[in-house]
Amino acid sequence: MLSKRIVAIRPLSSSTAASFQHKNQILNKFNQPQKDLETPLELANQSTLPKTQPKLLKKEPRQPTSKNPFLSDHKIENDPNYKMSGLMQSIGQLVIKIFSIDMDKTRAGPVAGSLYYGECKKQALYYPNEPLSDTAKFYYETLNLPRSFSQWFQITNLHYWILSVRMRAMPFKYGKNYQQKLVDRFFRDMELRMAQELNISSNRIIEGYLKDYHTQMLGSIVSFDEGLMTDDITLAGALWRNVFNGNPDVDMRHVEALVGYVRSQLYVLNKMSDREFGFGKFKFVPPNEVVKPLTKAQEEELRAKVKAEFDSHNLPSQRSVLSLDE
Amino acid sequence: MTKHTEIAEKIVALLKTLPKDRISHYASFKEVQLARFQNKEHLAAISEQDLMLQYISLRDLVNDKYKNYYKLDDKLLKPKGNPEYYNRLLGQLKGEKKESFWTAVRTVAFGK
Repeated sequence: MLSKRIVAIRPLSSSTAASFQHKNQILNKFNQPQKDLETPLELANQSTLPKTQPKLLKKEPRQPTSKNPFLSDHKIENDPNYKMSGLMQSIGQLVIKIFSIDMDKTRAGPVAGSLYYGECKKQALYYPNEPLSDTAKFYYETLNLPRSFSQWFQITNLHYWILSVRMRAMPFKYGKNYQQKLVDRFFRDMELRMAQELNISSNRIIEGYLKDYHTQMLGSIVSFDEGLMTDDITLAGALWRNVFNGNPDVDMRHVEALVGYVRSQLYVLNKMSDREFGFGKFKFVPPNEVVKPLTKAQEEELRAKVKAEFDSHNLPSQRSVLSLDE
Repeated sequence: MTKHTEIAEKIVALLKTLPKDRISHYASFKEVQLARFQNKEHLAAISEQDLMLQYISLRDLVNDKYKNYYKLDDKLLKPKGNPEYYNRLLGQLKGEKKESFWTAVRTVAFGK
């Protein structure tokens, strides 16, 4: 009862409710055990508000008329079963050994520029006349966001930001490199998609759009960073402006679902070591799943498993100075 | 007073406690939502159940439900690659610190 009252007066305060409850040992016994959260998808589906979209554009957004390969048509990126021949692998390992190549720097290209970009891109990727993926359904059907290239950009940009928060926590020279590879690939891919899928033939127009998107990206990153460091409602405001297009009739349940989704991804990234993240082990948790905070024992068990896995990485190409502990 | 009006009033009271945006954006979440939930015609179209859910969601967001449930360590909040990144950003947003010409040159040259 008492803890409920504490929560109720929280809007009037600028400090967080948790710090007050934690400092007050006597009050802790009144705390109810925390109920498990619903998945973002369940949460967003609870409300039956009429679905509306703001009328932002005079004409319908341009839709893709063709489909590029997901990342590229190169066999390494295009074929999930591709394996380099034994001889080529041996030569590669020898070159890395002889020239003492910094593999953490080299790995940024395939991991951030390809694997992680693919993770960001696929979340909201759609093509007309093709069934939506489960994650795309969450954005376009559950959250009722408009199907447009700009909307895809905003959702991909949100996922880029989630990853870049983790990349900042890597040693500076590696984190910066990972961020650079990811953002370079993002804009290169947008350029190709606009030219080949949306059939925009003028390079000048594409360049203008890219500059606009870049400006939007910088603005949204400042807003998301502010939300990350301050509180949920500030993050909700940033998501409302950037992902929900400032829709005045937005469903708060949808905004809450997305805030929970973003915070849960950041929590997973927070629990991941630099080494795991640098090796591309992270995948976004889909909106139909819920992330439950780890107990100390679970965390230690996970750390031990990861250490055992990376202990067996002895090839020159698997060398890394990235931490396994944080 | 009906339950419907009561919930709407609670939402408006909650929205009024939100601080002003630190920098002006193309739209203010607080202002736009205040106008929405003060519009009686608009509210009439929302069922009581949905209005309650809108209130619960807003209340959870204001109470930092997710920030407290998914607690982050200093690992992300004071990133070792750039420990002052968020302090500088928030300092600027709050108007406490201002980037001078030389600190801006340093940021561009060294990236932090």
